[in-house]
Amino acid sequence: MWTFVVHRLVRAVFVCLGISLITFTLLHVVGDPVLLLVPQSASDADVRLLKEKLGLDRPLWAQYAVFLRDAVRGDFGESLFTQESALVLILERMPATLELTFAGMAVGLLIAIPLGVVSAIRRGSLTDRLCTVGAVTGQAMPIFWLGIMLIIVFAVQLRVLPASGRGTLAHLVLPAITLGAYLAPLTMRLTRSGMLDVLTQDYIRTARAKGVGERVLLFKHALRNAAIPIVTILGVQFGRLLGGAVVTETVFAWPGVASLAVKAINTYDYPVVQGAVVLLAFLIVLANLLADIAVTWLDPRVRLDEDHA
Amino acid sequence: MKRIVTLASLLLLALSLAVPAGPADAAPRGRVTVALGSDTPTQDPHMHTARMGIIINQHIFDTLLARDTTTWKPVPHLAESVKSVNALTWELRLRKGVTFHNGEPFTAESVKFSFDRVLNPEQKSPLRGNFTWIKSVDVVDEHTVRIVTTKPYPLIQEILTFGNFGMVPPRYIKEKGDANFAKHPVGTGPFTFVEWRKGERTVLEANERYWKGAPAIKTLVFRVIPETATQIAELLSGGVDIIRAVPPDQIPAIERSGTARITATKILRVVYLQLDGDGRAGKTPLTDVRVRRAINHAVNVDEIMQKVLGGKAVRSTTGDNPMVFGYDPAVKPYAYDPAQARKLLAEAGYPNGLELTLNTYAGSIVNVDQVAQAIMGYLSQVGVRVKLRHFADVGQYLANFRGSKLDGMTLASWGYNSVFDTDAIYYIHFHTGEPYAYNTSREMDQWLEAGRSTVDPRQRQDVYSRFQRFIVDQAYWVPMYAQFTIEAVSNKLNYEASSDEIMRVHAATWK
Repeated sequence: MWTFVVHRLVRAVFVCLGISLITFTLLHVVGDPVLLLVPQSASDADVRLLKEKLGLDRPLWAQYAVFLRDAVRGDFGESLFTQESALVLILERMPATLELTFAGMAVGLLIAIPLGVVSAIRRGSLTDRLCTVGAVTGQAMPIFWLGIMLIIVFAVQLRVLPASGRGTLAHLVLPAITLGAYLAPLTMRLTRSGMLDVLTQDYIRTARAKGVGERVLLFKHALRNAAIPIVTILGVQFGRLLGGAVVTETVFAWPGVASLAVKAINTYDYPVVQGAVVLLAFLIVLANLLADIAVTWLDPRVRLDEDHA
Repeated sequence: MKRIVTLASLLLLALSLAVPAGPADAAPRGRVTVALGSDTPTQDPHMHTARMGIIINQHIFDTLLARDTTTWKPVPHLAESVKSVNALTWELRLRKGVTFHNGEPFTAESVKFSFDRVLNPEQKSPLRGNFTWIKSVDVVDEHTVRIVTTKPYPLIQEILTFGNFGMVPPRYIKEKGDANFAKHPVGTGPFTFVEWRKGERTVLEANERYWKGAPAIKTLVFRVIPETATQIAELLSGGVDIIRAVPPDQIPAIERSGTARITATKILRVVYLQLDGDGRAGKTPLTDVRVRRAINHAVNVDEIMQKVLGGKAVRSTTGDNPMVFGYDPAVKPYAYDPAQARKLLAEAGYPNGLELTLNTYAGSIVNVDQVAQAIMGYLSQVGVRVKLRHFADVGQYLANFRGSKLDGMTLASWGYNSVFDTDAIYYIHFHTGEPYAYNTSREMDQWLEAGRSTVDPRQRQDVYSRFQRFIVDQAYWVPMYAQFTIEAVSNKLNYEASSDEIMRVHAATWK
């Protein structure tokens, strides 16, 4: 198992490296922060001077080399706009993003798993069909629109929850539901198909024949086995959740990393974008790793040491 | 010399007549929350040029001059008078008895320190470029300073009102350092700093010993809410009290809500259609004045203002903003006359019309897509086929602008860098060699240079009037309109939007 973890961590480093190279190239090819940094009335000489000062006049590969050299020491540089350490800016906002992402995941699972199980047990019933319709609608619904609708209903009309911001638990409710609703449809359908698959297996029939109670049967025997694909997918979904967080954070004025990155992208604040992207990529790789480890716990047949291909 | 002194005493008189109103009578109470679309990069007023930052700065710091909120002309603030001693020297007499929030007295030393701080290249202040006309700032006595300039500088009052050129406390900054000051600002302004949660909120508390009298509001919160729809929801649900940058199509919904109302006013930003009259971006039919005049006749600007902007715009007949010094309302624009436009195009050798690029960009121009489409519609009626090129990114747009790549027509806008003076728009757009100049001539260079090298307002007005008549005759631009700032405010407050786009929540009162 430890060999597996080390292997995956080494791979994570390469993933982050690749991602940083892609972001770096894309950002530098499409835009130039210098004109956003100087007053509009600045002369061409001022513009050139600032370019030199920021090292943006050097060839791309040389700039990337400098970035890499500093990044391995945990230094992503200073924000071009606030002259603060990019890493500090990102870490300051990390708790908010993690709080939102985990709350969203919790809400998503709380909606998806019970509904998925019920749909599987009552396959073909009205409940099942309603859940399917709900899942398709949920998947088709833009997260942005859902967020605004929730705000209009619960904050403007009913006035029971705050419309935006972070602070109390009440502030977390609407963003978590929005993000959860984004995660739920796919997870629900996976649960449903996983359960359907497991419920037709021989060992379930055997267990039932032995007189195991229906509740124990469902939750101990069936759901645990159905959980394997769900957990694997959750690791992958974590990346999608962070993507959803970008929109959710913006709609709800949630002060997280995702909205910081969006702002930085719009202003070509390279150090902040680079730092945020690399850190988020690392988190996603980590989430996948944790999901894989969790699967071994759920499914003793999977032996990680043989599975690092 | 004599004229300068007479002028200066007139200015002094004007300044002293406009002394701000006396202190408010009641103790500050209640809490007001203002939504801003993005956060300030720093609380240090000298170290950024962000609009949101300036809005917050103005509540913590005082500038040497302020603006009268009806005429938008500079009026005394921390400086009681600004007097020209000779062509290169200005004397500022400072208000007495003012203290910083930490108890440090505001004196001539504070003023010198603030100037020197911005001018020091090591400080890397982005404001520095606006102050390079200063040779030195000298302390005369505890409440008098003299500013010596490198050349006659007519815009000094404008620069002294700059929203982020607040006066800062020398002792506090020297003791605690710049990094600390950027997070814990101390000024002389109507509010004292309480807390800054980056990307979230800035919290201020009324300065009960403010020299102009305590503000009516006890606690003032600036909250960062990037999404406009969310800002409006917060306003309607009572979560925030003032929002800015309201889209014109949301005005009816807010007016109907019964909880908030719209306050809108004209601002400095003007919108105009720039034509490449020099052919700077390559060969173009626009080097022919008849083609440029035809385009002027073809576009119905008044209709765009009514239909696309709901009347929330002020017509500019020369491209200059009607609010600023130097604008000449006597100069008349081309009448909307499609027949005349077609005739001129035929005369210029385009009886079957022609094709031109229209460059547009995202940001600053309200309803930019609709305005561009309207222009394209008018032009197609006279036979001008338009190829639209949209820049989704301001940086790209500016790079192309400076890089001589904006061929044909450009739907451009200009915000004057907050300077209410004609020099701030024309020099940079019409003087040979300037990064944004696509229409130039020796004659225009001379007028523009004359306008910035004399401090006599009459001479300056005269030269700018001549300049405006010339550029309208040559039809270098299609002058359009000055935009509005549209804000919405809770019905609990008396508050009006400002033409310099600096929200004056310190002047708001409870209903």
